[in-house]
Amino acid sequence: MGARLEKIFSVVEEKAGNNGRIKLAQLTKVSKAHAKEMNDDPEVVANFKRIASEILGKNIDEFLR
Amino acid sequence: MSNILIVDDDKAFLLSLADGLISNDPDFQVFTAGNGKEALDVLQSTKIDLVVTDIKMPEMDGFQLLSYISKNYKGIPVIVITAFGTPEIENEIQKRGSFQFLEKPLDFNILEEKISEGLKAKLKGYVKGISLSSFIQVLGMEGASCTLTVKSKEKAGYLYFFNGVLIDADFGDKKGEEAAYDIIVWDDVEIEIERKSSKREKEINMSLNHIIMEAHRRMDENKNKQDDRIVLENNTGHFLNSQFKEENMNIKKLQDAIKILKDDLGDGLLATDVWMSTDGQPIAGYNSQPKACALFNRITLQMNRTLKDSGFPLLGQYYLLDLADKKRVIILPLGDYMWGMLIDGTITPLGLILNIALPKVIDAFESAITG
Repeated sequence: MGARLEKIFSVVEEKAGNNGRIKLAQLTKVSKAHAKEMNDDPEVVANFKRIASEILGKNIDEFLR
Repeated sequence: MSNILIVDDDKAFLLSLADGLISNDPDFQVFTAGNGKEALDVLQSTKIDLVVTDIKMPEMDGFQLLSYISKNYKGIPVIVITAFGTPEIENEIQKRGSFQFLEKPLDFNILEEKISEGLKAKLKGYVKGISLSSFIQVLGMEGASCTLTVKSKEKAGYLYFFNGVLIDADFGDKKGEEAAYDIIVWDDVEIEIERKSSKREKEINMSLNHIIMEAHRRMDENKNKQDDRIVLENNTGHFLNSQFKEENMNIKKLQDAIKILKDDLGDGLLATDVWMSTDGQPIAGYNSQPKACALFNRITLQMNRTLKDSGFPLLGQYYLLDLADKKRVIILPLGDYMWGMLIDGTITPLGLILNIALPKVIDAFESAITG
């Protein structure tokens, strides 16, 4: 349940602090707690990764391997 | 009996004015001085209720006298004898200022009327020190070159004049027009005047009249914003800025987040605010401290800019300042928002804040931001 989405949140939080985490929540309209409970739907994950990459200024895939 | 001090270097004019006032109103006791320095002697030895002064005088001129009154006799109304500015400025100054202008040659009846108005205002407590707007308007009219140091409630700013033109201003990080807009509307000011302008580069391109009018317009606008801030729960000190309309923010949840913090830290939480980083204005809080919001917003943005420019990692979860008297300030950068809290370190251990309270409030804030 939402393991990939939660991982994206964790990476953004680790690399960009609360600033990054809150921006990700604001732009996806999903909180970290809620992300844990969501299904890792490929479209949703792709959207999260795109937004997370924008926030970090780097492709998030580098940190998810 | 009201004690009136008239200051002018024209002795004949001074005596005729004094005689006229006394004969017209026996309740006036009139004192005279030939320049600012003599006026100081009178002020120091006699309880004066109102001062009428010329500007151009030997030894100590009217500006220096006004400066002295601004520091030492804040409650005394002053009438300055000089040329009028524009009618708009005159109205603006009379609405807000504590001293008025009169043109030479003087209309005696108008002078008497102004003196009566000034004394009545003093009695009703309307007079609160020299108005800076009035002071600089006279500087402009008289074509003065000088540097003003303006102090008000532990703040200090600088206004630079050259030939009556406001050429620059300094206040904290602000320069030029932006600094002038802030300084000009300070109340309860102390004014120090240095007769030569130490800066000659012209940084301000607006006229003095425009700057004064714009400064007051901005002040009114800010005051209206403040008035619109409603206190939701006076007894607990919680507040919410009613002007804040953020589509993505669930205000109820934001207040819940503040309540979580208050419940966790109890009396150890002295104050807390959430504000927008774009303007440093608080949107919700407990024992709200708007000045602290503006200050820490500036500090945090500056810190992040400096870290970025230096190639260091940016701020992470929070930063903490350990202040005197065991007070602690913790700031959390939260995207477009910041959350600041003032903690009493004698009551609340740091571990409780960092490990228990903060994770909870960040979760709660995130929930508020996602609606």
